[in-house]
Amino acid sequence: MKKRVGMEVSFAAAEAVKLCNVDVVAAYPITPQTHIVERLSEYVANGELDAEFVPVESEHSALSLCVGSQAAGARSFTCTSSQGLALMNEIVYITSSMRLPMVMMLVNRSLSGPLSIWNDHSDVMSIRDCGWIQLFVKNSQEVFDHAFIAYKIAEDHNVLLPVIINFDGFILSHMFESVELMEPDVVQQYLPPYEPKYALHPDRALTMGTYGMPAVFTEAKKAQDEALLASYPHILEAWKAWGDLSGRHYHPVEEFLTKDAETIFVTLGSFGETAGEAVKALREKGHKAGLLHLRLWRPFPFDAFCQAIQGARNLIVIDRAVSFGGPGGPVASEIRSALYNKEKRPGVYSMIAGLGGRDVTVRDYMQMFESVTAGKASAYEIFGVRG
Amino acid sequence: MVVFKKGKGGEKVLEIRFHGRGGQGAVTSAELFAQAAIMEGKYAQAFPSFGPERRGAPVVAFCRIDDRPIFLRTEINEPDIVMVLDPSLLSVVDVTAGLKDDGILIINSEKEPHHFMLERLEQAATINATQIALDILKRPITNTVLLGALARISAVVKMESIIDAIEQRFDAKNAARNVQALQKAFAETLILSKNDCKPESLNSFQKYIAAASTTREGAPKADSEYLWNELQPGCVVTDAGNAKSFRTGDWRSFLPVLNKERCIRCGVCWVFCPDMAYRQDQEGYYLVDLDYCKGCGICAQECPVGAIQMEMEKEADAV
Repeated sequence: MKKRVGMEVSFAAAEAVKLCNVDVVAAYPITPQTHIVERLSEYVANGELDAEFVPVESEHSALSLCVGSQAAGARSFTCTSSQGLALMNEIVYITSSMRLPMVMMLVNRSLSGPLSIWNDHSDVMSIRDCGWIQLFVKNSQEVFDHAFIAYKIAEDHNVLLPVIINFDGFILSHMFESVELMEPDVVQQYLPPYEPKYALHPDRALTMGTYGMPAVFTEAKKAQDEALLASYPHILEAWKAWGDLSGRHYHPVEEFLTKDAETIFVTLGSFGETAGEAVKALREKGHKAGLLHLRLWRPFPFDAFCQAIQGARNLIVIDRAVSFGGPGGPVASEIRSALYNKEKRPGVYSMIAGLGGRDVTVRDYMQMFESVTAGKASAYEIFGVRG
Repeated sequence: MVVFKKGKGGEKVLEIRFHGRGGQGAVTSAELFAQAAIMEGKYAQAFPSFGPERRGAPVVAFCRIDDRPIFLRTEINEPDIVMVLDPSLLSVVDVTAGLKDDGILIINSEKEPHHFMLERLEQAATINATQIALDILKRPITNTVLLGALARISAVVKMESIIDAIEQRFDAKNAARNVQALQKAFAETLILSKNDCKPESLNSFQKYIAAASTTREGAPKADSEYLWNELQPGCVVTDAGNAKSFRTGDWRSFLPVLNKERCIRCGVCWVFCPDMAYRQDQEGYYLVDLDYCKGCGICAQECPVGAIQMEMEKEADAV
């Protein structure tokens, strides 16, 4: 096993992006994403990374620039959080519809207001339907590994879609912990130089970003949806190849003690790690608790998910964002809809927790478990809210 | 001497909380200790209390060390060890909050440890880290110095590993000075164990921290006391001007001291103070209100006759 080194997770992220040998980095600083691009700008300035670093004037420009550079055949990277993503929104949809295989790290932070710089998933849930492949990671190693995996998936000519790597702001981005780094030659073996399927070039004229008349718009959208769904096996391939290389294996849904579990927590992101500790504590008390970590959010892994929760009586779905006026948290609502046509389906309890930086402890998860198994929980609640 | 504590599953874990002020390096302290542990093949996390850091404001950092991979992603509310980088914090925050009953308190202070001993604690330790930092590093940055005391108290991470971590982090010249400060602190740390403690010396600090953690009269309702249905629509603040109730003087690590003989009562300090902390007295002198002065030093900088000197805050005499 290679030696683990200690570093801030944001710096591990920047190190990985450097190893991906990106051609263009365009980003605008926003808390808590800042350290990643700061470090990348240093790499470019001191010659460690041969790339164009463009300090744009806004996130809208950052992503617009990446659309341009990616269209010209450059491996492009951007990174943002919260309001920055909101400002990018227009271009987020354009990127995927143009099938531009770039990678964005989204350091999750709540959307204002009230103004909050802390962590939750309201930013990413605001672009749920944007057509990007969306992944969640939960520790430094997963952040590091997924930089390579994300480009591998995105640039696969069977995929050609942009990828978002979601990781929790502060809880992960500002955490100092250990990570196993990879040698550049090993990374290059996994991630060869980018070969665009289409690229803008004066000698080979083509048009991108076209107009879609009503006569063809529906077909364009169907093609885009099919492309996202069809990316699934190629995502698995990219994970498999990485697992063979590094010994670290990733899956669309990751199960912890789910086999005989009656009540299963469903989490996205780093909260899954704490929830896992709660599951261990519940098991010690003789409760049949389990945990399912949803790593792949788009395309949603329906089959793998349904298989993993077979036999469970209750699902406690932890959402880190509110769907105002809706029937539950965004993830819980989706899971309910996925299970609706199943003959045997578990009760789905939608628990909103960890909004805007609120800590969720092992004790909190145990309390959720107790209220659900005692039949005291409602189908949808904001856990721990005062009043 | 602290060794790893065994958890229920046989796992061994040590949790440390660092109290400092923004800019003093509490986070660096936590990171260096975590780095040293990782270099020994252990698992470790170091992280700040998340949020914007303001120079001088009280800040907290955490370090969690384990023999096995760590999965907890929560703050440390019940630490085994509390480290206090700045003695002036003792009157501002209850540094002992949540500290385990058999825990250890390590304080940067010129006083002896019995001043800080609590009945429930295993050990209290003091080290005059500010003096060591001023002597060796030539500035009052106590983060690496305190690690010397921590290494002396805890066997979890070896001194050599901390030195390695410092050498990896700083350039050669800075590393050498920090290592020198670290070793001096290791040698000079005063440790008081529960069994060696005279009962009469136990009460004073208890009373003192009780006062520090008491809510001030007239303080606004804390955010953590609001129910959702008590908030105004849109979170509108209806009592405008309430900044007065936030005693930002807590952030101060340097204090403006006025020499009245030099003062010409021109009011330039009053004009430039960004916190409007200056008030004119009956004789026309401008005096600083310590409830609000953050110790930024702008008044001293702007005073045309050099009547204001900035002096370092000391730990309160009551301790």
